[in-house]
Amino acid sequence: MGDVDAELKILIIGDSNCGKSCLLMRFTDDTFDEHMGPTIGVDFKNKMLTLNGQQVKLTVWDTAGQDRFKTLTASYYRGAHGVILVYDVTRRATFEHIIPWLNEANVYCDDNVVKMLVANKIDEPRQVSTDEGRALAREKNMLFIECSAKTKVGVQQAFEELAQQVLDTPELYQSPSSGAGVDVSSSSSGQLNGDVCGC
Amino acid sequence: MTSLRRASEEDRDHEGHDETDMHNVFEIVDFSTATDWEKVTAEFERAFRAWKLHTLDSKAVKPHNVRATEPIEAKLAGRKYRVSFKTTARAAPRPVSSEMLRRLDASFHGEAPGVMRWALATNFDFDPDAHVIQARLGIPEFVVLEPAETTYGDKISVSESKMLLSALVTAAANVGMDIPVFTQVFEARSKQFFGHCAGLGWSITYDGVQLPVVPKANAHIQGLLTLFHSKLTHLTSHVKAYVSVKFTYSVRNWMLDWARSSPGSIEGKPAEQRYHAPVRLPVGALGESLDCLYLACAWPHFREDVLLDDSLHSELTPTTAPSWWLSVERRKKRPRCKLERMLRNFMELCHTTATFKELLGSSAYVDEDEDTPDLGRNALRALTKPQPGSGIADDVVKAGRTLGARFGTVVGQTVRHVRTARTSDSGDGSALESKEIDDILGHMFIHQDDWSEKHAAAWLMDRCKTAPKQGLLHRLATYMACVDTYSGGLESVATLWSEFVMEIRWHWENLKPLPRMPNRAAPDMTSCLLQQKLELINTCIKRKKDRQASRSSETTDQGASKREGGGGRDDHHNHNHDDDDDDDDDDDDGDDDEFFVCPEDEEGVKKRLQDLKRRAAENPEQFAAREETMAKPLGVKEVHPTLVLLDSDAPLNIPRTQEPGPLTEDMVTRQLAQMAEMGDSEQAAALRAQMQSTSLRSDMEAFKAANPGCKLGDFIRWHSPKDWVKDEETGETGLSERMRDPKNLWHALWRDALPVPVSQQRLLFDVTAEAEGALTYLENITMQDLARQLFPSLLEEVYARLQDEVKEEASPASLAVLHASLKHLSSRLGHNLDEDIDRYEDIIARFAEVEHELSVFSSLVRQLGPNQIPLCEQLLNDGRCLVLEESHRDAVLRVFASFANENDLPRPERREFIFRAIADQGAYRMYASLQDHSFDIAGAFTAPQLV
Ligand SMILES: Nc1nc2c(ncn2[C@@H]2O[C@H](COP(=O)(O)OP(=O)(O)OP(=O)(O)O)[C@@H](O)[C@H]2O)c(=O)[nH]1
Ligand SMILES: [Mg+2]
Repeated sequence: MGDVDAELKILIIGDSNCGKSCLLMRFTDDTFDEHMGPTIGVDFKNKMLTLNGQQVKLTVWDTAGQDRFKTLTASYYRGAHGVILVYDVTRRATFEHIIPWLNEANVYCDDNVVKMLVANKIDEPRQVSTDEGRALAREKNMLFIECSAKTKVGVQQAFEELAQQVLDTPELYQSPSSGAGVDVSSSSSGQLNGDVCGC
Repeated sequence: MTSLRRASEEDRDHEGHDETDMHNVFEIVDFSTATDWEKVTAEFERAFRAWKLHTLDSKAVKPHNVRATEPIEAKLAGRKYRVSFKTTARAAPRPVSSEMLRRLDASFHGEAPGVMRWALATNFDFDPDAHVIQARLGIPEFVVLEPAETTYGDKISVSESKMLLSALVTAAANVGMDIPVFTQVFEARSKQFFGHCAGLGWSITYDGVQLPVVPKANAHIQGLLTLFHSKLTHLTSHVKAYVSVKFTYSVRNWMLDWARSSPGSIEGKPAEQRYHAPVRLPVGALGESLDCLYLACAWPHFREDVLLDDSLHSELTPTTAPSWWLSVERRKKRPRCKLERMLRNFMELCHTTATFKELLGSSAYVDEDEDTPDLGRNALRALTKPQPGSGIADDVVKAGRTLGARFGTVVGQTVRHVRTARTSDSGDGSALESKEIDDILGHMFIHQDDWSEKHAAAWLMDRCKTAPKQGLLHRLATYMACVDTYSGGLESVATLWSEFVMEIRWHWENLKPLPRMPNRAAPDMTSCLLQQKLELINTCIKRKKDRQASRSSETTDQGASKREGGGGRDDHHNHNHDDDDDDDDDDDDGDDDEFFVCPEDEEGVKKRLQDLKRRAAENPEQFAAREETMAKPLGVKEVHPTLVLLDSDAPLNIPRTQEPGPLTEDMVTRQLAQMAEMGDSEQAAALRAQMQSTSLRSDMEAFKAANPGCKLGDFIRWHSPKDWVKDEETGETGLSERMRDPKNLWHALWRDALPVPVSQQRLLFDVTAEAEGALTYLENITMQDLARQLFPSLLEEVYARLQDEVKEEASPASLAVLHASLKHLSSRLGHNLDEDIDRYEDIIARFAEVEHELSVFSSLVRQLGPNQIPLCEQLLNDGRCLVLEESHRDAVLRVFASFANENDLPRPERREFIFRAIADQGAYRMYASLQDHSFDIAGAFTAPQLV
């Protein structure tokens, strides 16, 4: 803990089977496991990142996209700094479901939580174009990135970009509501805020 | 001039002024301070130049658009003065008559100086918003000197004032500007100034006088005209002056309008009736808001010979004056309001850390204690039975109340401590009586005609945790706040809460669903925790009741063979799963409490039979074969419309499943914290998946029971269709890549799952334990926690109450806007209102502002009558309004007349006059204000030519 400058809580949400768990695995372990079953309930992984010389600990929570497992989700949003909304470019329906997912996030999250729209499986033939994804992200005030958990493209950038954006949003730190495992000491947050503005 | 000054001297003699004649102003040079005087003159000059006053063209038609100038401070003889340049950019001067202006211009052989034209102007006449110099003398821009320090009073003596004026005049002459300069004389409140302005070949002197009485000779237009004419330097008897007049009337000491109680509210009712009907929160100010209502009747201007007004006779009849202005003056400090007081009192509860057990004494919760009769819950049972007058019910109620009364006497130290801290006007102190508690509980739990599901939507505070509108907790919040302010404070609040909890327990124990509760599967986590707990209890009540209902219908209906499973056979074994732990602490129902019971509805059975028949008709051989070989499906909810099992052609049956138990936020938070503690190792992840798979296992077992001979693939096609995929190349269908690995948890769970219909599964959700847990939460809550959770609901109720008021009073749009802004305000509150507790103060103040405006408006409406809404609206928004129409004037007249106990307007409180004339020398103007104890004159007089 001593060398951690900031701890961020990130959530991944989106329909079942669009690759949320694979994205997380790729990010934390740099592996792609096609045999990992559908997520049951919620799970999380930790990962250290170095951003602008700061040690940032990400706790990334992954949820089941299946409705039958959705009981835990509401308070799982609590204290989140960033939310990743994933859709699968090979299945249009998953893109169309982004709006309900976003609404849910808006109900339970702080106003200034950073949201990122992620288009996954771009290694496969698509049903959703880049422009459509970008347009939705712009309209709803989200970051946007396309990636593939399988080929690695864009995954690291997605998480780093999101973390960076969170660090650039000082309100997220000043908010007194801190959920489980999220704690930024006031001195380090001050430092953070000072450091990131240059980039 | 002489007569004027003499009046002033007489007036001020006792104050020790020994003043010289105004004509000598420029001769005064006190050589002892000559250097000081010169210095200050130079300072003034510098300021004038800095302000660029010398560049201003006094003949410009409109006042200049000067940049805002900073006042300067200057020192003379050890005293500091502030000199400022005042300007009001306005339209060109509007003279009383254009003919007059033409004559003035002519006497200057072209265009008269600006200040002279402005002396004739009416722009600022009687304008309450204008500077006194503007209002009295008509000048839009001028320099004025006032004391900068007022530690020793703000009075400037006459000699001091004149010396300073001479410095200002000299400085003005030196920079060559013709902007008038003024110095204050006497105290600021006397509004007296000396002034001067000079140009090439002309000068104007501004002078004034104040007397404590109106000289008889000057008490009317005729007398004032004589004075005015005497100031016109030459013999100009033919000159006709123009006169403007304003009479002001006032009404103070309103009837104590605020003292009336709001209709239908609990104020002023005897204790036993206060809560008889559902309460309406009392609204309105707790003190007077308005200081004064003014009526100004004005005659804009007329020639002096048009209307006669002298000591014997007056043709000035205010009722027919051309313009009537009504204006209202508010108290500087707004009075407290009723809802505001209630909210502030409630805030105190938000800071009371004691638990209710502490507040009421430890014997308050008696449910487990066999020695104490079970009175609390009987109370409501009695209430629930609509048998008024039934002796037994009454007795039970009384007995229950004895208990309530006992709570009151064991109230601990904390209560007294808090109560003594209350201010005296914080409300009515008489404590809650048992009859009142009955009434209140009745309004909460019994009469619920106005509650419907659609109310459940969040509305005012969509971002902070509250409870469904008009729901049970809203009711509770409302009554708690009422009881707190009007019926005994904390003590009564504590009693009410303990009664409330007992009623909840009674509902649980008697399986009566809670009233005013939204009907949803899981508690909404945007609600406050208390609401979530109540919803949890309600779910427990319903589930347990359903189970009992289905069980009892099974026992009464012996033909229950058709009820469960397919094939029309009785497969309802109902053997006791009396395995490991005995968590049956529930004595009033059976041992099989923890098993799922699913009533099969008639509709479903019929549909299913039809389905089977259809399929059998479509493929008779196969169907028959299958029927014979397979075990009987159990716990089927319905037949899947299209799917058929992989290894046979039997239809895929959708099983009945167990709904997972609803979770309240605190439970989820606890679970998440537990999970977080486990760390992110692979084993931990596996364990977490195990932990969370009980529901999945239950689904699998139910599915196996409903589909004998099925495979994982069948389950997946129903449960997670996306994981049943078609291989593009081979065209074969099968489990998706991620499902295929036999090592993954899904396979493991499937292997272990036994075919068990939900009716024989252990319950995922133990209603008894959950309900008891939630009740324990209610019983152990602290006052602070309770109040903080209820506060948003109370705010919503207050908001709604104000809205009613806005509608009722046909109130102006401005109030609706103001009210709507409250919504905006509170929607900015975050989820954790608990942590925002300090922001409540601000919110209460904003609510109070709306409440107060409403009260001002209704007070105005009551004064002026319901037909004068537009007038009241203007008065509310702008503070004044023009009264033109006859009917409006009548209404206003009535108000003023009634306050004076007359039929007509009373004697005016103040009469003001402005006289304007031109003579060869230039423009003349005189302002006069006549009141009972003051006579005030200010004038602008053209001085004799200096050259
Ligand atoms: N081609 C391709 N396949 C991917 C990619 N990412 C994931 N997948 C596949 O998509 C399937 C689903 O991935 P998961 O990560 O389990 O999906 P999920 O969103 O976590 O699903 P739930 O846990 O049910 O909500 C896996 O079988 C992966 O093989 C990708 O970038 N490209
Ligand atoms: Mg997953």
